[in-house]
Amino acid sequence: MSIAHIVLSDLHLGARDSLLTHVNGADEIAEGPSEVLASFANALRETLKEGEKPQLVLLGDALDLGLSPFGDVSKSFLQLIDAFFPAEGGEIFSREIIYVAGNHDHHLWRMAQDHRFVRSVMKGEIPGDLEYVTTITGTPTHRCRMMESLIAHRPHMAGAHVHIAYPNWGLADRSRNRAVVMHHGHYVDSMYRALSNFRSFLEGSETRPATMRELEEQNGPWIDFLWSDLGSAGKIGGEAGTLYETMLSAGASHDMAGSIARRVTGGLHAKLGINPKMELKYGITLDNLIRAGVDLTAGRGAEKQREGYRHVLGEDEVDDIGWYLGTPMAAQLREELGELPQELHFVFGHTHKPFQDELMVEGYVLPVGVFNTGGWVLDEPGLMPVQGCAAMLVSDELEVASLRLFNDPVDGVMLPVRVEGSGRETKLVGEAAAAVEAAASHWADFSRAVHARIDEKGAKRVRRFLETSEHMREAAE
Amino acid sequence: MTTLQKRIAKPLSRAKAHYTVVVIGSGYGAGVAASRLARAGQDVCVLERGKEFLPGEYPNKIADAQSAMQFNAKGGRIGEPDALFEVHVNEDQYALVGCGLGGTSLINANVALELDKRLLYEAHWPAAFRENREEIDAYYERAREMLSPNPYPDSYPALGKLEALEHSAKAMGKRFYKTPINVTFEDKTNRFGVPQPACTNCGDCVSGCNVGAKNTTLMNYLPDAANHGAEIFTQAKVLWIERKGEQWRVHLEANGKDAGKGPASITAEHVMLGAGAIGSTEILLRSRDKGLPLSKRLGHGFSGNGDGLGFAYDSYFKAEKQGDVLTAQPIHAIGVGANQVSKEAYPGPCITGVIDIRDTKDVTKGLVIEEGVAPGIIGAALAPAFFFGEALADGFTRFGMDQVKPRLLDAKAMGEAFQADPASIGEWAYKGPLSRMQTYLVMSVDDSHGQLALEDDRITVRWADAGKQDTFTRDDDLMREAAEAIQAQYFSDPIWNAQMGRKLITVHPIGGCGMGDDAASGVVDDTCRVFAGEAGTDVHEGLYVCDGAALPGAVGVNPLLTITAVAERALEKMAQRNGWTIDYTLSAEGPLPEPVEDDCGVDDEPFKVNFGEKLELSVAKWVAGHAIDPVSRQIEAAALHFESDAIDKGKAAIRKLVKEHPEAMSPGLAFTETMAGHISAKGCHHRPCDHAERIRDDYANGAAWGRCEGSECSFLLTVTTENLHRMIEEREHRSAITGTVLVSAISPDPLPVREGTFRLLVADPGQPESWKMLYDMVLEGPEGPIHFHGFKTLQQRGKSDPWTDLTTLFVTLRHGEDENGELIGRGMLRLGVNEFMRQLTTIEVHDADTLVGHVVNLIPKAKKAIETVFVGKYAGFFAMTVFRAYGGMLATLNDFPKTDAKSFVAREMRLPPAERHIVPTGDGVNIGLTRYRGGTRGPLVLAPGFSVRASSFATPTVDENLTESLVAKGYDVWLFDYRASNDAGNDIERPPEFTIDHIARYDWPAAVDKIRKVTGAESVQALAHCVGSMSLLMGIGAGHVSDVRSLISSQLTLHPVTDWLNYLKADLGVAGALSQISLLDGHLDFVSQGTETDYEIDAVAYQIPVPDGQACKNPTCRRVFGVFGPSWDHSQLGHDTHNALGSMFSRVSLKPFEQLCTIMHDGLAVNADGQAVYTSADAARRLALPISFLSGATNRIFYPESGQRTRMWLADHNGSDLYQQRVVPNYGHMDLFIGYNAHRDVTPVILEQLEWLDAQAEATGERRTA
Repeated sequence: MSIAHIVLSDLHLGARDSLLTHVNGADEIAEGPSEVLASFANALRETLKEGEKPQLVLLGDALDLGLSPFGDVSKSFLQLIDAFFPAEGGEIFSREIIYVAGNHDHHLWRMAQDHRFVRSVMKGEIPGDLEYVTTITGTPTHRCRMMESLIAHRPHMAGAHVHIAYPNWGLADRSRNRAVVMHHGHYVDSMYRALSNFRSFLEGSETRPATMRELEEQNGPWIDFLWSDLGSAGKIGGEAGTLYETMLSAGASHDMAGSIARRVTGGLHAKLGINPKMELKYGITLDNLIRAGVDLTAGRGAEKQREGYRHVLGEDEVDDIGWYLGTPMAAQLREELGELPQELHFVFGHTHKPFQDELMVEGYVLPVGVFNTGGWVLDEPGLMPVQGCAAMLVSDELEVASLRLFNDPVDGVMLPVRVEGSGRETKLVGEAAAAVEAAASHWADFSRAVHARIDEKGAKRVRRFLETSEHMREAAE
Repeated sequence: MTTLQKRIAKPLSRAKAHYTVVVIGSGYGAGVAASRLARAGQDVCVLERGKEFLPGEYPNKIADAQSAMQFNAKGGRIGEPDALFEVHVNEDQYALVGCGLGGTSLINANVALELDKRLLYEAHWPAAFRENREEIDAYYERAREMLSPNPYPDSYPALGKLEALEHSAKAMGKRFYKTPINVTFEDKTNRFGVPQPACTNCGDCVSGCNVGAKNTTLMNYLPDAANHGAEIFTQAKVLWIERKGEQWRVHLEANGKDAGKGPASITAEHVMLGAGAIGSTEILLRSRDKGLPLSKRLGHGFSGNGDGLGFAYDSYFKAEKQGDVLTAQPIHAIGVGANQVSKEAYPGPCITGVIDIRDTKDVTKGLVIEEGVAPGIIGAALAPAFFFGEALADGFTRFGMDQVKPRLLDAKAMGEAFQADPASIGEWAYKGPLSRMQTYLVMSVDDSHGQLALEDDRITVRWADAGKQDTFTRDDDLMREAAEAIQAQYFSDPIWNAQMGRKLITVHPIGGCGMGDDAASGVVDDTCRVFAGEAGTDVHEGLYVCDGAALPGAVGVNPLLTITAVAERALEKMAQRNGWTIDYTLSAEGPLPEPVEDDCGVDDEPFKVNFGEKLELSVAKWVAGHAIDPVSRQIEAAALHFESDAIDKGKAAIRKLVKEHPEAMSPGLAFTETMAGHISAKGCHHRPCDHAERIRDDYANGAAWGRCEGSECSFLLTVTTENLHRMIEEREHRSAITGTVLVSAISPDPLPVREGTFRLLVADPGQPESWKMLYDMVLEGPEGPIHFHGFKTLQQRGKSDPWTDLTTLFVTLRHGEDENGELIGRGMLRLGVNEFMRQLTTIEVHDADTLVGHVVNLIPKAKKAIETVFVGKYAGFFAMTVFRAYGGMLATLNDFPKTDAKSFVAREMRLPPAERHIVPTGDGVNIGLTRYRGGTRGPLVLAPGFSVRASSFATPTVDENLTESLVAKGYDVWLFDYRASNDAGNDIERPPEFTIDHIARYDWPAAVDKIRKVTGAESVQALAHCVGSMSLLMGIGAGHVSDVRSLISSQLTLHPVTDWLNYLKADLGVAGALSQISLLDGHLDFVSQGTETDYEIDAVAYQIPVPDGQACKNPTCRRVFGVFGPSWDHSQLGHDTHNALGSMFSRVSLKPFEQLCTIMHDGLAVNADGQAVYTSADAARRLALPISFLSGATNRIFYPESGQRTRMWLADHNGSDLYQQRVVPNYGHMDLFIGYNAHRDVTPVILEQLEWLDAQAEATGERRTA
């Protein structure tokens, strides 16, 4: 048995908050891999068996296209290539990379879709529509030209390919009646199905898209707008990034809510002549009410964003996984495989909160192993214990195990890197755990590097909030 | 007892072997057949499976309810087969039918409405009906002649429920009218010679009219048949029929335990099936199995007639306000039963009015809403049911603040009555909120896609997801609208909810032998003749189905008139075909005859107690330890009452005896429980991790894998408690388990339980408001013992509900005798509704070899009285725990923690004697200091949060508190009550007004000085929490406080970062608003004093949202969360600590909240004038001392970011070496100090930091000296 695939997600390369993005003292993208990335590559190399060259699967949001400039993202992607495929030898992965787009890099899938369409047109055909989704199984027929072009900057990588699939990619083994499916995870998050939800709301029904195509057709443009288009829109995109960050911090949210409220009350006074300090009842003024209203909406919304850090997945989101696997995924698997595989593993990311468990999904014979890859960005300065990162290991027999890389070091404690299973006993968990154990000192180096980076990033962000807060206060006075 | 009516039924033994006509059943269809065929001169025999009940014989007390019920459930019938009410229990669709002479007409509301003729197309009636829609009118008229429907007369008293329904109809803009009902409103002897007194308005129509005013078929069609020579036999149950040559052979059996024997079969030329939709179909299905060729449609097309049920509770539609007092008028919609009820509270006939919403464009979307009366027989059960329903629904504030108070006070009074005097619950059916309750009965058009089938010879309704049809959501929506129109809390049918799987119950089963144009489309033709075979139009000669079974679909309204009309039509055509003449002339009505005295009480045998002197000796055995004499005298007194027939006095005497000697008088109790599910070890190899990282648990995974593998686990257990009183009183509530457990992974045979303990609802010591039911057993496995551990958790969390929680058992099975053996599997077992009902019937009170048994032997009549008391006690304990766990605002207002805290026995503390110091400060206000001399380290001053008493650091409700831990480590501990605490030595009635600045400026310096003075120490160490911490940082920063050499600053710093709710409160200026509310009188209490004002405060506090998982029913907790925000993580508090919260908080002036609000709003510790005086560069320099910031990782009131910010600000000024921050995972705010496991999870961190601070302080000191 060997490790055939390693799945990483949510690298957010190019983002300043990504633990992988290597920046110099002036906050510019630096040359070569960051210490975190280098030590990760090194530990991985030490863990893999001689001659073992697994396939790298990048499961979405690898590139922070939504919120970071393309240039930064591109340079940062090369840092990753340099770490995993060094020119001096010691390549960790096979040169056939699989790329499954997520919400932040949905743009890449759009490019592939467009490219395919244009190519057909150039050949004299006019296809009915864009190809909305790819097949789950088999090598994807689309290629990521952007990544391949970047890789071309490294001459020693000639012949490397990046195959792009969307929104799922998977592996099936008919003889074992087993399959692994992977999806970035944004469609398990109801926010990214907003248009579908809106549509069913208007229809007064609770019906959700029955197929992947329907799902993507209805929501893909919205995702593009929300992330990719905002990202490339320069300044607005930058603000969106900060807004998200801001929402994750209670204090920063409040400061922002305060400034919104001030603008509202200021406007009332200036434009309508209404005195916001006018008392309504019990000494409560209009100004009070407006501020409260902003807290109630913006503040509470931000709270919900933070609330998520108390558990890896809410009850509704667990239900959503059941729907995703049981409805559109099941439909497509039946179409491609003839029937549902007996044993299924589902790998996703997007939430930045790694976990692994089992879930009974209607329609499947056995419980589904559910694995989350976490993420490499720092969302929360308060350091929430469920936030963290994992890499998924997939064996040639299609067993899956989670290589738990790190969680936020609450109270300075960082658990060692380890291998975990979903709850059933597998060969892979045992063997991979032994391999990781054997490379323990290298993994300890990696943990140290991550720890240091998180502490540094956290401090930086708190300082920024503290300063913003002071600015705002001064502005208010 | 007086009876006017004569019996018409004969014992089955007198039945002949042959008749020209056998009529099966005695409801509307069968009644028509019997009457018409007898009038046509035929030799008619009527076979009814139930008994003949005359007015006065119908059950009317809750005590009779159980014996009047039979449940036709999978796995066997529960109850007697001739009991009046039969419930067909199925997976999705239940049905309630009558069993007795008169069929379901005995227990219906006798509403005589016609169907919407557009339905004749929709439901695919035969061509004869479709093409001549008016033909049925004549038969409707004929039916009316017999049943005499009339609307509730204007000469009768006005009815509240009718008025309420009309009010709803108006609000909804729908048509309203009084329904024609088959009820007699004047004394008379009817045209069939049956005396019928006028309706008394008692409302008990549906439990059987004891007046004789309701025109059931027993009042008209049946006596008419008897008058014309028909022979009627009861307790005769028809099983199947077969064709024998030119005749039909009807196979039957005697039904009921006292049924007389009769012939096993009767032959006839004509068989008229009129046993109802379910009964007739059952007989034909069985006959088909035995060879009778019938249509394939048999059993199909079953409809529940779109029956729906709903309740409007505590209506305020007629309310008057006098001054501040709002009073609502009663509606009265509960039957009188055997209760003493004033005439004004008589509800009137069951249904008197209708909101008719059948004028919809699509006829299948039409419905009628009728107001109903719950029969008095269940009146006593309604009050607690609605009380709990209201508590669970938690909707007190939905009708505006005006109504909150009266609604709550009513609910409170009910709750108190139930706890103090469970026997009084019956009275609550006729007063308070229950008197303002309206029941809605809906009939609509379902899709008629149910199927009747025989399973193991039992008739079942198969109708997957019947309750998920849009019809029922629409019905429910409209009933809700009707309820809201009369300002009432709406409750849907309790079995039609998501947890129960949207089950339906119909009282109008229809179809199964539906009409059609041929055998391919129907079971009978338009004249009710049964098609012979699966195709074509040939019919079986002489075989008819002439009841609701023959209707091809829902009629969308009470079906009795349509069934009767269809039967009248079939009988007329039958007579025509056979050349018979039916004489339809009726006799005249007459006056009511004189009542005849029935000699009653013959069954009451003379009763004599003979004790002699032996009584004392005989009770001695059980009264050991008590004085024997009083007990024996009480028994004697009770016996004498019973002897002299003073039953009530006797019962009272027994109750007194039970009350005074509960343990000696307590019987035992046993019940049998069966649960089933799946287990496996396969999915349970998850390595332990924080629960936040799981999306499922091992139980769910084990159950899932177990189901895949077919690994079953089920049990049949008997839980026995020897002494109910003792079981309820002791903390663990233990009973013994016997029985067997099936573990298919181990053995195909059930394993006997070697030993087992059941614990009923034990409070979880480590969790607030969480109770567990525990099953621990050792099983005899084929290869050694097996350990079985199971638990149910009763706790309100997320989407949990009491039904699911009480019926789901999480189990772990291991090899060996204890919890350490190898895992066999984990999983979940469930109790289904059917099993639950069966379980209720297995409850057995036993009293062998107990005093109570002895007393019962002496006074057999006392048995019921004693059982009632104890079963009530058991049910009460159970219900109250459920109420505490799920009872929402109502449970909160009940303040259970207060009661619990009173009975809490504090443990011995491991502390030296406390030394109390009250110290006046610079501005004359006092502070309190409590010293525990633990040694020479320190002195360490501990300051609590705002308004919290410092004694909370030394709470006896945890196994080891922080003060004990510190003392054990040799610290000289000083608990500091600054002026925000009731223990500071100031007036606690009118607490001093102050600002946070005062604490910083006066309290801290006074405390530090005093400690230094008393101990002689140069400086002190401090551990300060929340406002204690912030005020100390302020005091040091401003230069008011010196000589603090190091500090643990817990949670709140100079840079508070709080949650949206606190920002909201700050931005809203809640503090200022509060001070203007006169109710509060300038101060705030965290403990309810139980006044009406407290109720209002608690009701408001309850509405303030709390984070997920933090909702509890402790009013103190709610107030604290409401005022300060989420002050602890409930999952960290123990049961006792959560109950004791009231003792940890103080009454405080509202004044300091103004400054606190400004501070929250600014995110900075500013002074009372809003100036940032505490965060200047000078302040930072003064704070150049070792500080350890302590935060709870899940703190929602002050995020760990608060510590991060102040630490960073200080580090920028003084370097980072002096400061550290520790974040404790999974802890919130104050739970750091009062958490159940804080001594394990937090205290070590504190001790470590104290060491580090010491080292830092020393280093700093050295640097300074150097």
